[in-house]
Amino acid sequence: MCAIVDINVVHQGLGRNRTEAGKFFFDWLLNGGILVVGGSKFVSEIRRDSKFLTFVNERRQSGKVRQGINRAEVDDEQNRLIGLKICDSDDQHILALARVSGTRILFTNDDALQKDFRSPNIINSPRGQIYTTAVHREVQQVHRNRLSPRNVQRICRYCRNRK
Amino acid sequence: MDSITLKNYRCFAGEQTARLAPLTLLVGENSTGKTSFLAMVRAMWDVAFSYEWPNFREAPYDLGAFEDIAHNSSSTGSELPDSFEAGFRRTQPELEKGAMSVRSTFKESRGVPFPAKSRIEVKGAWIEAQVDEEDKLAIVFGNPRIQWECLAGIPVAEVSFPLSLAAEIGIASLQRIENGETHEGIASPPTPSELEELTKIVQALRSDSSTTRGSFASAPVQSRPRRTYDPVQQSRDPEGKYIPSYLASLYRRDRHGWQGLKASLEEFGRKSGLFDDIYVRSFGNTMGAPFQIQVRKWGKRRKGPRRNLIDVGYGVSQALPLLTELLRPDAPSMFLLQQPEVHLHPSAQAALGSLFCDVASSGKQLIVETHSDFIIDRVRSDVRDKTTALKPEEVSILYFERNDLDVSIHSIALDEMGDLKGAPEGYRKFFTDEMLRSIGF
Repeated sequence: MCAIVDINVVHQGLGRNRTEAGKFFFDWLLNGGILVVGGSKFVSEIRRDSKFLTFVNERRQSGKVRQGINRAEVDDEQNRLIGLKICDSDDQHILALARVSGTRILFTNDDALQKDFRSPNIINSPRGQIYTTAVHREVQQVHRNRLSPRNVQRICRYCRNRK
Repeated sequence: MDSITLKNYRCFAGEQTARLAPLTLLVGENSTGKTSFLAMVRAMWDVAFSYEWPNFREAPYDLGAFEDIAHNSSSTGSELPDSFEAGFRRTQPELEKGAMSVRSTFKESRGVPFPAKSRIEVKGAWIEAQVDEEDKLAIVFGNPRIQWECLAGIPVAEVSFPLSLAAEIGIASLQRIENGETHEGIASPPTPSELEELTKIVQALRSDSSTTRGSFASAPVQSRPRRTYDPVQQSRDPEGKYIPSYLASLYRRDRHGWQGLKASLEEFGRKSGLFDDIYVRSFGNTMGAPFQIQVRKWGKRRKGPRRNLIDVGYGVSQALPLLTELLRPDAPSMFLLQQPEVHLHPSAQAALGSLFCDVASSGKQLIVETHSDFIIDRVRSDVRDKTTALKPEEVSILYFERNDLDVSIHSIALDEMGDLKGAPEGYRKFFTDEMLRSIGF
């Protein structure tokens, strides 16, 4: 059960003013969820957030971070997406990570990134799904459904193969 | 050893099997049986390859009497079993049919555990050393079709070790049968192919005993350094008391050997930040002359003074015995290490992780009890980055988890990216909880 976290929403789960739905997502990560990390830009973003870095490092040591992703492959895919000019957002590194890893759940509140992640031209077979706290800060059924084992295994290639 | 099995031993209830690899790291809270595990690895090594009876009171592991060693979960000792067992499997290149397995049953004899029955088996064919209640040894050969006693009634006090002895006696016994000299004790004589199978086992065991250079078990705390040493002890000991004398002896009698070891020690010293140069300062030309062990650090532009081992950080003198043992040209085949990270800065702990990878990839087997994340992380990253010849499948992490009064061993593997495969939910729970506290989650 794996998911990608946009660095811009980390405070929603780990910050002092965290939201209920943000905490719900990080609780899910701590109880069986697998964090997906990869690519040079994503790793450098993690390094700038000390709380998230601590969190990722511990989850990695506990075997709960998917690092089995080739950094160069993600970087190449990122550059390819930039070259194609099909993205509204400037988060090609996240989209590249999803394409390379097969992960189809992204926690983000960024409108442009949400649009790109749902776009079949960028993320397809199966399409990407968004977990967000932009609409509801409290935990709603949509949050629960998004992170349910059944949903994650249905849409995530990696989780499906491990089942 | 590829795996080890324990049954009713110390805190391990029932029967448990753990995967061993060229580099095996033992992790878990205090008092979860990691040292007991090491003690049993050494005992089984002795059962198979040593010429001595296994001793559970030999340093650095003093496990006590039989009643302290057999699994006992009751406060009164009412559930004490009358035996405990252990075994291991080992891939034998000489044996076409694959792995050899060794298993021993330990019973109480004069208050201490004694291997009452030890068997080596390769695909059905086996040799067994049995000790009866009168302390008489019998050696039995067999396969699924037949079995026969080739030796019986020998007082154990008069012989060295059963399986090695069985190998020695076995060759002679098999040759006598092959030559048609005797079929005593055999209802149906073995066929030539059966004799060939058994001979292969015996030869494999003899070959192992002769090619392996024994095991080395280190204590977590090493002996304190001294300003000046007199050449004394040369034999190995868990606290490394003999190491200064060994270094001085090598320096005096074999300059080429000393230069090789010195270069290896200095390479690690630089990587770990412990020292840049190491010297033996001899106060005389004879082998019996006193001496000092000195180290030197380099600055950015100039080299510092040579300093006595006692005048530099404690970590140097604590690490030196272990480093010497790992790097000396006649290093043993099996290392059993307890908390080698004690007194070392994280950078030196990480360097130790790299050294373990290098040593394990050179045909040695290391089983390391550790609480150091830096060692484990370095092993993982070296495997991932291929800065070591060690492959992911050549690393095993054994997590010792306490469940009520008993302990379970979980075998965790590494994938090609150095990530953990098969980590149970409880693995690193304390660390995760502490991390969440520290970031205010």
